[in-house]
Amino acid sequence: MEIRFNNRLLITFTFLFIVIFSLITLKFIAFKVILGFILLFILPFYLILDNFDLDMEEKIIFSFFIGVIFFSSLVYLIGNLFGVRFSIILTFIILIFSNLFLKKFIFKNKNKSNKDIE
Amino acid sequence: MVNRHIEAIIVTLLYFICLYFWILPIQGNSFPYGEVDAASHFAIADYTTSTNKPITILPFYIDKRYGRDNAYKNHRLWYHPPYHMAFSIAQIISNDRITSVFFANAIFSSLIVLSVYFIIRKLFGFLPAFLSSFMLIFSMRDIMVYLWGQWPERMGFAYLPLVIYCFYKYSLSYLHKKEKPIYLYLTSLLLVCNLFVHPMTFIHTILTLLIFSFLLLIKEKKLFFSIRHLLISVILFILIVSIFPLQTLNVIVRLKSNKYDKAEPNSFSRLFRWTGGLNAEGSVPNAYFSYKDMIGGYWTIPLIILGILVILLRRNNKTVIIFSWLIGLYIMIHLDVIGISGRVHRSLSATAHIFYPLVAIGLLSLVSYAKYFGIYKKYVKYGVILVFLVLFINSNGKAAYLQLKNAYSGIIRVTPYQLEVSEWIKDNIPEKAQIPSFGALTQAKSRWIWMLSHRYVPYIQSFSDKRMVNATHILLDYSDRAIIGDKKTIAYMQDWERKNLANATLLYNKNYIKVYKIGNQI
Repeated sequence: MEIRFNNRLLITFTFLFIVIFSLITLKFIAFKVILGFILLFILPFYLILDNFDLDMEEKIIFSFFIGVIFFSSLVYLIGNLFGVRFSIILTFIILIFSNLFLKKFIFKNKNKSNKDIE
Repeated sequence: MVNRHIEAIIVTLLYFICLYFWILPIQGNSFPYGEVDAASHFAIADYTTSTNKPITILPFYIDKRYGRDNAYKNHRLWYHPPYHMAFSIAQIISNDRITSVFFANAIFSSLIVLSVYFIIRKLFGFLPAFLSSFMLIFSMRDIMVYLWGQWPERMGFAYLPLVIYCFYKYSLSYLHKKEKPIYLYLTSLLLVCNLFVHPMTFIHTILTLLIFSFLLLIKEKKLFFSIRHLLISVILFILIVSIFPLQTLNVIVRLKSNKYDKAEPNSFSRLFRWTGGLNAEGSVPNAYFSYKDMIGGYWTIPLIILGILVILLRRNNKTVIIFSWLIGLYIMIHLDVIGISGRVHRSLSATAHIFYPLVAIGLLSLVSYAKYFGIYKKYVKYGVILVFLVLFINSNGKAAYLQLKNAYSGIIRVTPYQLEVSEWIKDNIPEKAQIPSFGALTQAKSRWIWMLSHRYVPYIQSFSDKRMVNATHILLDYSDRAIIGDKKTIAYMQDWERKNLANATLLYNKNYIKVYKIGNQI
């Protein structure tokens, strides 16, 4: 329970940092770019890496460094067919569904065994 | 031992402080800046966003300058696409054309602060990691290259620590018979990303990996990887780099031809010097080769030597990583000795990434003697660290702050007038127009007008320039010259205008900038 509270507190702090930083620097542009990058580059790949035995710092840092390039590559490839704007949304949806697919079919035994341990 | 949540807050704060400094050039001045390279990186993203279509074949105005930069297939995009696509994504999600790109670039270029923190934290703990990253915020060489516009290179170097960390973790798991192949697959994925961001930094990473493997093999006297895992990783790497064949083959063709990098071998004595004897032929200022101006005061050199001694004496797998990194960098910046000099001065910009961790390790090895101070040991330890930070801020922090704060100030960067005419040209002049531009203060500014207007606007310094032959329009920019009071150039321009443009159609005349339509048809 304590850990969960601390994680929430950490997320609140980070969000506050982003808001304050944006306000004193580039206002809404910084805010939108930071949140956009977290949502598009980090989140989908964090969820995918979460299926593997990696610690939290590793998942966060690798998800950004891999996410920024792989997400953008997919946008480029899909964008040739559907246009860049639409392919940003499509890529995000594809990655979120890929993670659900991985969780349900590929890593189901691992997730089950983790639950057994808990 | 720092609580991991408090540590996360400290790191977040540290990185936001870094970003605050690194975006000083665009705080309060949202006009684009940088040398010609910066304009080219902006152009790829900007065209993609404005057309909502990724670039495969170069549009006319980009092709006029970069049409042959893809050595495998001319007129195609010469960089791997994702790096610039990320800028385009930043433009789209923020609905902003210029500031978003510069802000995203500040994030990407400063990632080295995070990746060095990550690896040093994992290998040596919180304090060395914090000190290394703190120093990197003020690394002058990183800042200068970032400001000039070699943007992908800055981000590419940030992959090196992560790649060697993953490879180290895999080797360790294999040696301890608890194999974790995910780390080897991550090595592969990160290497792909590294190549897609910048090929030269990819070579740095590969060389460091090879040296690390060689040293580990000698140390352990046995294989530290499974052939099966390695094969899967190699296949994974090849499959993913194949998704952009034209750009990957461009890298291979350029490496094979090597025509840009060949030079007369430099003196053998260069091997005993770090920057001494290097010469970038005026493309960078002399201060770029100065230890004092770029890395820090000379008082940091004993700490680097101490850091190297510590890693040599410890000789465990962790220190082998740092040693490999240092040797890899040493080789890359001494390639001029064997006649490959084209990129040596650019490799030099990775020096702080390994020197600062060595300074931190050296300093903390000294601080470890604080234990002999009994009950005062904590005060001595943190006192020394505080003194170090004050000295470092004094020697590097101030200079870095001023460099960032005053970067491209005044008319050195594109002015509101020039941005306005660029946008007018973009909206009103045909795509294949050829518009020589005369009068802008520097070639870099003129290149920005070229890329912002999405039209071919070459910089000319004489009206007899060969690019006047096919000109369909001409841009006469009196604005910069009027600001600096360059009466001689203004008189020359007015005289030429009066004699040659009497019958031309004046399309734009605002803020001391004129655009004429002249003889040639498109």
